[in-house]
Amino acid sequence: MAAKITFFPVSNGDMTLITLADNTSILIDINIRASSVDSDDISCDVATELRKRIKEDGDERPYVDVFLLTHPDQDHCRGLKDHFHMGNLGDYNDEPPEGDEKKIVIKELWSSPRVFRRASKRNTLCDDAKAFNKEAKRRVKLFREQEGSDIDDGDRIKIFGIDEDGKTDGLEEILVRRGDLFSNINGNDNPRIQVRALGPLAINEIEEEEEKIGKNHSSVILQFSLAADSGPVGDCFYLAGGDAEVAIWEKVWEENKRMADNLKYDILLAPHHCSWHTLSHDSWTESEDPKVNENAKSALSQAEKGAHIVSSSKPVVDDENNPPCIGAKEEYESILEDGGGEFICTDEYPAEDNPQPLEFTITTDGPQRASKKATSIAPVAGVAATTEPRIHG
Amino acid sequence: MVNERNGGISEEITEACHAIGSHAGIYKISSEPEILGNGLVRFVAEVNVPLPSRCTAQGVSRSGVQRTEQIILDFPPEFPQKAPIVRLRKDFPLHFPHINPHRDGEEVRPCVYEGSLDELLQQPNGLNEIINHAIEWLEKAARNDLTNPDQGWEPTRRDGTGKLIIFALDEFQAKITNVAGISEFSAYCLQYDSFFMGRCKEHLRGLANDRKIGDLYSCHDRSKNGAIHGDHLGILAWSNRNAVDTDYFPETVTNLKELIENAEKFGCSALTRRLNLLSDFIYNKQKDFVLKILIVLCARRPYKVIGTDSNLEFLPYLAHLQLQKTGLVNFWDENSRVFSVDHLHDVSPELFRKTSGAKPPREDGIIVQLGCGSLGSKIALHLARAGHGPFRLYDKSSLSPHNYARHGLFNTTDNLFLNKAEALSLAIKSFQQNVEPHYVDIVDHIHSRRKAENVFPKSTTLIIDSSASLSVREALSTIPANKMPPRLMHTGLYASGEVGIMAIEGNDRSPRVDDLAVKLFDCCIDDDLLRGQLNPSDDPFSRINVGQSCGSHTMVMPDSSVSMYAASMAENARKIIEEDDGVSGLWIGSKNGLGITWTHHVVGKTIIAPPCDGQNWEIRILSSVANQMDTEARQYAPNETGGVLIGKVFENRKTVVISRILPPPSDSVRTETKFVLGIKGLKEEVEKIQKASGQTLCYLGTWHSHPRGGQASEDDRQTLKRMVELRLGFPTINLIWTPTGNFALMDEGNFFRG
Repeated sequence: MAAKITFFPVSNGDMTLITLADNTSILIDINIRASSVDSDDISCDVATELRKRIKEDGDERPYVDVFLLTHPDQDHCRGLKDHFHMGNLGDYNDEPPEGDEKKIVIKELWSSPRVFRRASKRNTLCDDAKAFNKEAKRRVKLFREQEGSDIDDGDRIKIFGIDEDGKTDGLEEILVRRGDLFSNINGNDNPRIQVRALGPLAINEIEEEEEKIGKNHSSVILQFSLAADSGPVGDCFYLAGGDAEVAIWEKVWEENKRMADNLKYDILLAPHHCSWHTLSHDSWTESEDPKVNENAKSALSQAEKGAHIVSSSKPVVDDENNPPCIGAKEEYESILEDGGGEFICTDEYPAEDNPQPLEFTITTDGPQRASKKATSIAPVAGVAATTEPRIHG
Repeated sequence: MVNERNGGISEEITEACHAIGSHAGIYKISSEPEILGNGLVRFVAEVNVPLPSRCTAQGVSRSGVQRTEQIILDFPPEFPQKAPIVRLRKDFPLHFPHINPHRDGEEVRPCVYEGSLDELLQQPNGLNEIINHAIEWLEKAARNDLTNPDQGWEPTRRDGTGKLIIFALDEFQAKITNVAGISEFSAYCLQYDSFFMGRCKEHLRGLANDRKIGDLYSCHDRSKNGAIHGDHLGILAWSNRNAVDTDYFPETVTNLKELIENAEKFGCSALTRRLNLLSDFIYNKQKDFVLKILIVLCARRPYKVIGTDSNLEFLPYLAHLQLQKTGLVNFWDENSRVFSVDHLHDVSPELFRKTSGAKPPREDGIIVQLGCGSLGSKIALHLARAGHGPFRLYDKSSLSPHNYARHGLFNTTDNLFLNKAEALSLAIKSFQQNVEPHYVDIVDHIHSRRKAENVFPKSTTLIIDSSASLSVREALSTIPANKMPPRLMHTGLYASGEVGIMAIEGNDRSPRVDDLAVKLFDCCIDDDLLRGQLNPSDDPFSRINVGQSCGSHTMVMPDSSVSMYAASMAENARKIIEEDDGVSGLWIGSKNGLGITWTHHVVGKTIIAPPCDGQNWEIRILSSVANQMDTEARQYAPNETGGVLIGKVFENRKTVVISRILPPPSDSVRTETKFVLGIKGLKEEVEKIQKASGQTLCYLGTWHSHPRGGQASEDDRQTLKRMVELRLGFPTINLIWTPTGNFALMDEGNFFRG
């Protein structure tokens, strides 16, 4: 099976699944809203769509090899407690109450060191983020206790970035530093993928921004290089950086501009749901002539020929709301202009009134978007669009 | 009624055009509906194919799919009962699998859906689904993903040619050697207008000479309806081992020149020489003489062809070779017409197994079918049709006209009056299954094999007894377990098909078929309906006049009833053959409205109680009885306890089967040293049970426990004597239970004393 990247339509929020040719699955952020599993809602039932795309382990438990939380905002971890198993696998409930589905096992957790920070007035956390922190800390504690001996599926963790207060001392083995390039996925070196860590930046590097933009600064920023099948990596570069905003991208550009390939992409997830603040220090609505920050834009302009930019957001319209911002969309479209690639908003794909997962198949010539299909009208009471069983005579 | 507007274009097609125009994947309708010369209505939809991103700027994928492609839709007048034909531009690249046979200059026809588009169209959203499949086909073609080496090589599409050839793939595969070559075969063929069907009959030794060719084509008949029957020559040609053809290409051959080009492409170089030689053979024929032959090219593929375990793909053709002459030189016109032909697997157990979804047998073993009458023939045919076998069939009687009312075989001249085993073997043999008919009397066979190591072939997996014969059942019961390792399934119908039974023996023949027969009678005690149906005094057999002065003693019931039972029996037989599933025990089926309800009585291993005093009797205790005695004996310990034995005597083979025990009469006495069976109400109780069993079971004696173990006491022998006095003429048992096992004192009765 060819590798795939799937973007789930979750309004302003992120939820992306990378599936490698060997079925290894990497889930980046989730935003599973309670209403999306409600049949009256037009929004896509992303929990079901996710489960369709992941495998079950030998104990018939659904799992992802990796879950990365780029940063602990609710629109990036909503639904974690309800849909994922938290805690020791020994406590897994194989017989959930009727009507509930088995929870998804996270074999390896990827986290920023932000989990070590105390909650404070500024650092408030939603319940799902608290659950994530608790789970990450459990895994870190286990790692420290086991002192290098083999850690099992369900207990593994990677921490992206060093904690300034020394909370990550002794965790070197599970630590991914900025600039690192790695292929180790859930304990195995996987030749089908290479991940470059570009962020998060340390807090002292962006103290000013911390005040303004809260948790967003701590977003993990990664460039994935993927193989279409069993060949070498490089068939698709995917750049994702959570909600990182303009100051971060300026710094990222500063650090990488001499090696701009570190930032190249065939698919870019427009940071912070296509927010104007990714590209500018100025306010889109209040400033008379908001200026694009050229360094930040350069960081996000390393598009391969035909690259696509995905905005995981509400439909992008010309209004005062931000994100998403029409101004940002226009900037992104200008990046794509020559290559013929598309700017695609998840909530508009394939149509605003029926958003569906946006799936790319990785080919040796880059990612290929799935063609738009006509889907059957969902069975609504009184309008039965049923499939007839096949007859044998 | 087709509502026609727009100059003969139906409203349905106009609506379809609008619907497709608003499909999410369609960019626009680029040409409005128009009527083609052949009555089809065509319109063209434009689709933006998502290309792999790095090819987007060039506007074409590396595999040759353009960013904007046309889906050409040809609607038949029968739409919406029939689906449109999906076509692509004439110069669409051909190096993909899933392209239907193609002619130069025509639009390319992709095979977008595995089933019938006509059927898909009838599903909700059907028209959109057809478009979805077409768009997905293009999307996959754009990334060159219409094939997956892991799944295998996609065979060249050649469906809908209206021409078929049937051959066994493994036979053809076996002919292919490492060095390029050809081999020849004869095929029985039938032609009717443009329809053609051939079936490989025989692989020839060496190549056909002119005499052989003459023979083959000498007896072509034309039947009343114009169909031509007769044999054709067939040539199979292959390449050297290293000539692997790795390119997908649709079928394009229409004449001899193109066929030869194709053969050269695959490396089948010997074909041309052979065809030249053939034209010389028929030197005496006139110019324009047409020789119809089958040609099968074997292409070697880079990986396994889907659905096979080999890299060889066979591409069959029918060639109408037309003779040309230049002076004395004969040659074939290179414009001779050639048709591509679709391959069908010939009948084989493997094909039947796949079609049935049956699992392969656990072990390669023989199925022995005893009795090939209506029930037996149907069971055996069901199994053969699931690909099972080989078979050994036993029956001594022949097919009479009235048998066809219910037999699995049809009334054909080649089986009337044939022995039933032989007639059935012909049918099974036609399924390419090995089968051996035996015309012997089964009882004779068992007796003659008594001294041999095995009564039935050593590799037998299952013996199905459908002989409806007590003597066969009795003869089978005499075979020791070590001489009959396979499982025995005894089948039969009772009461004009109101009841059917399957008695399936356990491992090591325990429980044995006679145990299960007694269990059946025991079931009657608690089941009034069953008792009524099995009542031996109501004879369900009737004499049917099968000729003016001829009668047959048979059970009257319809074929459909026999089939219902036979089907269930074959299902259980399959479970034994395929998975040795826990089906052993007694199955009682009874008619229930339009179907049959089966009750499965699980019967455990039978306990054998050795008789004291060296008597030559086999005393068999059904496991339920043995368990009950255990429970009661332990319950009353340290006192002795006991009761009355009920069961059946098979006096001819000195065997007793105990099927139930009755509680002791109320005046019985239990002490630590003895148990005295009372008599209060005993006679009435025994009579009641015998009656309830339909007089199939009877009183057999008593049992009592020795909780501390020990041998038969003098008291026990005295008790037996009193019992014998009470009950003359039949064997009487005094069965003794001890914590370590049972033994029996018994008196054979006057019957054996003469």
